[in-house]
Amino acid sequence: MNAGSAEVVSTYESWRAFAASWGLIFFGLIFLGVVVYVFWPSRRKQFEQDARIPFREDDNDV
Amino acid sequence: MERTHPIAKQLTFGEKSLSAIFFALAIATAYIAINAYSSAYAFHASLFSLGSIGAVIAIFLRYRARDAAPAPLMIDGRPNYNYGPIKFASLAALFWGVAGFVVGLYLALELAYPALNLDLPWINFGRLRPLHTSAVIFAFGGNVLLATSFYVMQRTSRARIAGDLAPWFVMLGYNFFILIAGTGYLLGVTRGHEYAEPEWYAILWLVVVWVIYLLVYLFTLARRAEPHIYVANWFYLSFIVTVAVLVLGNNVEIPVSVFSPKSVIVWAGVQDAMIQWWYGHNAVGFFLTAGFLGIMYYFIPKRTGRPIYSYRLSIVHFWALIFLYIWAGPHHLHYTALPDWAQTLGMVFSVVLWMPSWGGMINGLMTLSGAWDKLRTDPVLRMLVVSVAFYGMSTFEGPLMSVKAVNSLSHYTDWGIGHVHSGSLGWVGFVSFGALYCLIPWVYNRRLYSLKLVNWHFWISTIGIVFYISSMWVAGIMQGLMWRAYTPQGFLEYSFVETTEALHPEYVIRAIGGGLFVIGALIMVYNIWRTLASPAVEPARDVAVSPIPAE
Repeated sequence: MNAGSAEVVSTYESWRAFAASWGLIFFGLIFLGVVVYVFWPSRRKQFEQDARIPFREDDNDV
Repeated sequence: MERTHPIAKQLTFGEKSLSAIFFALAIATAYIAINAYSSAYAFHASLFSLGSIGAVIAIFLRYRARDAAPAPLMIDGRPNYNYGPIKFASLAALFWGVAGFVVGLYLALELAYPALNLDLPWINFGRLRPLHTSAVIFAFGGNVLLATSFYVMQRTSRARIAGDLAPWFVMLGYNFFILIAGTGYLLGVTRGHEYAEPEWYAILWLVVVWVIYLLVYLFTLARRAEPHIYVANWFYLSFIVTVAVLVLGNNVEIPVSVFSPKSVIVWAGVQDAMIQWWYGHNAVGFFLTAGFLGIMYYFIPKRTGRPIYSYRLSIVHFWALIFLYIWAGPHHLHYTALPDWAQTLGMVFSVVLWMPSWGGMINGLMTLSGAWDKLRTDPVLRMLVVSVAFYGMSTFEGPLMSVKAVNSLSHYTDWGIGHVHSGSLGWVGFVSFGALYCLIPWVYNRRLYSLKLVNWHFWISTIGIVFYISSMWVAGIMQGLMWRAYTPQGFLEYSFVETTEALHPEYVIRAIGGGLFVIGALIMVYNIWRTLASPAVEPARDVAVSPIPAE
């Protein structure tokens, strides 16, 4: 094995290790943030109103 | 209105520059056509050239017919929605749908009776098969997504679509891409990557169209009158953005020459396979799922007259789908040269994906709670709801098949074909039919000609799907078991030809199912044709009703 290919393997290994640790934590936290945001009790009313957007256009419907 | 001084009609900047670009393209592609290395490529370059000339003429004719002033954004305080491109795409969807289904039926018959390829190169299975998949996924599905997204983006923003020529460029440009891709397959122009067959020049054109599509979407949202961006738009946007990323990622290739249709991808072997299935599975995830979920989140509430069961669940559904789907691709490469950890990763994410999929299914189905009786009276709504049920079924089957132990039996067999068709006929097909049955009467101001015919369409197609998927389950499992059967001496028990012979009855049943699905689609075409031929209903929307003069 020459030096070049060893370097390739280590790049691959380090990317893989990064993705499986910090990458996973990063995306996991973002997703957790989304869930907390969505289910925060004070936002319930706003989301219930947003769900009615398809009907709000209906003031000029058939 | 203050229109005392008529505005002098002038070519807009867009009309001038676009016709100049098309004029240049017409000349360049004509030059390429003359010097092309192969006749198929010369044919395509000529199509580009003729299409460009056609575009210049169309821009000029449109200029002659239009008013001097640009179309108003609002008429009497109401958004002046632009339905022209939507009408085009919804009818194009019907055309491509029937074409794609018929080709699929012919392929099913070819598999049952191989002599049907008549020894002609253009209609052998290898060339016809990508024509079928592209026609139903990208031509039928793509036009449904274009039509519904242009409708939903305008209606939920309460704003006219952005751009004057741009929406038409997206519609016609996309359908031109379909034409190039489809004729290419028949003539033997292909990259040999599943669901990514079009060669470099078709992809280049698609990327231009797609970027304009994204810009039209974003600029329309930017002028919205509604502060919140309704969740259906999020699904459509993720579909547009992800498809752009996927197509660019899977087409990093170098053309052999500008005069040749052939290109070479910069990576090879297992890297190519990995990228290809990252693309392939996310084409399922973002083209056939996220985009059509946008349809679900708008059309099911609209048709039932009730808001989505849980708006919060829809947001969690969205993000969970985005975070998970992108990793599931490696399950297409179980037991291959792909590193084992990547295979396991693909399997785990596919299994976890089950949760957001079912969350979305529950959200769609429960929207009917308190209105279940409508399923009995409204076959259009029934179609939409059954599509969501099929979504649930195939997103349960998919994770199951992605488990390595199951995959060792199911992979490369007709079980996969059955799975794909329960998703594509049941989910994508039915949600598209349901949306078109709503959308076409809405944009044309017509009453749907016959709900009874919708009912016939629904039942004939449903029976067709059941024939299709159950015969393929039986065929796939039988095939998988025959492939792995050993004699006591340790030899393989069956030759490949024996397994093929054993599949004949299932292939015939599959063709019957496909035939029923085609009949259903033809009933739909008749119904829509009669709808369009009927007189327009008095449109309460989009019409200036108030006779009050402007101050």
